[in-house]
Amino acid sequence: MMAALSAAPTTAPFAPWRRVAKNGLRLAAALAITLAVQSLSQTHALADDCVADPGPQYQPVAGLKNDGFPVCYLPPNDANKAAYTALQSRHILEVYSQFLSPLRLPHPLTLVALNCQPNFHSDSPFYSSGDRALHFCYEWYRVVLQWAPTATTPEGVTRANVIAGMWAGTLLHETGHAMFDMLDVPVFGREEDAADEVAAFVALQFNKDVARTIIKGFAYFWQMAAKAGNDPPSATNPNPPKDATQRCFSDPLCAYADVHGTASQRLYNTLCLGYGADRETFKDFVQMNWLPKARADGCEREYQQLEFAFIKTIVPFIDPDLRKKVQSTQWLLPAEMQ
Amino acid sequence: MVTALAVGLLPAFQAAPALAQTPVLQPNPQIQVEYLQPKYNSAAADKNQYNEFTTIYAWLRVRRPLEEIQKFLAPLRLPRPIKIQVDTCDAERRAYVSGGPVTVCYELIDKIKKVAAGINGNDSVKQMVIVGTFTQAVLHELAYGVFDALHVPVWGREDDAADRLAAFVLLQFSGDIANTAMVGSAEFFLLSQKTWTGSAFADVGSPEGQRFYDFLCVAYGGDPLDFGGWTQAPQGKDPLLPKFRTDNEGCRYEYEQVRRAFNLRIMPYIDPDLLLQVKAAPWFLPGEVSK
Repeated sequence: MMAALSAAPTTAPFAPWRRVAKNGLRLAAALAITLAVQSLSQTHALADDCVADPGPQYQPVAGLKNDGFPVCYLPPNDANKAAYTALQSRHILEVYSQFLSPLRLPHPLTLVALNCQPNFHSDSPFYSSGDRALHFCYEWYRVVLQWAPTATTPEGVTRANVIAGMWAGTLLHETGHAMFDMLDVPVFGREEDAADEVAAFVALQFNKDVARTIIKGFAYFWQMAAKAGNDPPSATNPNPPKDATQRCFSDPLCAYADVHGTASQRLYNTLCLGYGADRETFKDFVQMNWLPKARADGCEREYQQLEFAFIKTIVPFIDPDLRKKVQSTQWLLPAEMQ
Repeated sequence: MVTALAVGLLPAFQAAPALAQTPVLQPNPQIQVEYLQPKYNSAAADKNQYNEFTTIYAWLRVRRPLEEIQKFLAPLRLPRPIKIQVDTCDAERRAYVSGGPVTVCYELIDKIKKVAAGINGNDSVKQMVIVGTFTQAVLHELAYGVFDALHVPVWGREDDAADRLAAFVLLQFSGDIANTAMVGSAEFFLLSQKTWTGSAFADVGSPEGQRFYDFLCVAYGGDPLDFGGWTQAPQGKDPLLPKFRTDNEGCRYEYEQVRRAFNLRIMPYIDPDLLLQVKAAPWFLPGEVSK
């Protein structure tokens, strides 16, 4: 038998983008039963509960139509009204639905913005195969705002970069889970890393400004998460929390039981894929030692491996003509890419 | 030149007699093996380490574990040869280069040996750490060659993928073998855990703690009866596998994910009749497996 776990410190567990509830039972088990029933009912009766677009109405990009990605903003609670207004006025879900139009999934993927607290005990977005929906928490908007820099960082990351990059990165990450599930994609590595790879890879298929915005914004967020103490602790807390999950996340060993990589791993993985895709565009990552050279040397191979996996397992489900149109469309606002 | 005395110098290896219960399987002709003589690193000037490597080399030449791997992999139809070698690397790992050999480093074997030696008293656990981790390490490195040779699309970090593939393969064997390999490897990860901070996380390899839990989870997901004890909380303590990782059949999902990927991308290259023979064969020596 292995050594028993030592219990330890208390920092709040940080589990951005919780792992998918893989089926109805798992989703139900993730919640209190009554709440789960309520939630599933909500999804099934989504159209009735969605908030009507108060306008101005979304003006869709011509030629990008796919009914496979219905959107729904569920009514926000008082704490989430600002987030709802920000998301809805930018038409985030409608834009993303169109962005996904080249993707041919065997079932509709519903994009839902919702209050995740208290039902889901987390602020983190998630994909659920139980209702084939990408759940985007209003609370996550607040988290991103809180962690976005107020001034441009030494790495040249702006507040707008982080907000836009995290929005795009989060949506793409969860879409990665949905694709793995619905397309039965073979995943040999850890799925959460694979979902991050989807986000980075898709971001890197657009022009340099878009790619740099999303990669930098995404990476910066994880850097901040690491600095805020969300990597596994190096010392045992003599006063471990009572909650078992929190106790685990505050333990130097047990924290590694998370299905997600550490914040620092996610930072370096993201930087590496950017640099591996385009050394010239992302050379500053290495020059300023944001990405250590020892890792950078193998990044081109890492990117090629990812590209190969994407081509083999995802591309067959992408409409090539719509893909070209999506790639030539300007999805981010100029201010978001400054 | 290898001598029986040299083998005897390594106490943890003593349980391994010179002759294995060699399965009747023929070696996979596409798997080539080589034990390179340890190289003396004059820059490091570590004569003791060189001596340790020489002892390991002697043991390898007697026990011939890579030749067993050749037979173990008999069912795998490869489009090109893959060479597995043991070599001096000046590090615990040597990065795989496409088309090149996969390498198990003397430095890693030496570390396995030292970690096992640090276990107080329990010789069977020491043996599990040595045999289980060595087997896992070979399959882990070999996974890189297989991904490459079979053009397997790899999602997620390749090193984790290699770990999960190795764990999955080991779980397909009898309880004794699976238990030795999984417990031995997990114990090794646990005992060799170090503190990771800052840019250390830029490494392409994952922290020992992550590998530890990934192994536990895949093992429990694949065989909740044999490995279910890891989810039981001793009085006043937490279970080894935390509940949030196993909740909602999370580990079952992880195991099934690897199984589906294996069935789709690797199983087409497996001879089913030879596979059964491999599964039926006794791979470890009596003293090497955990009962």
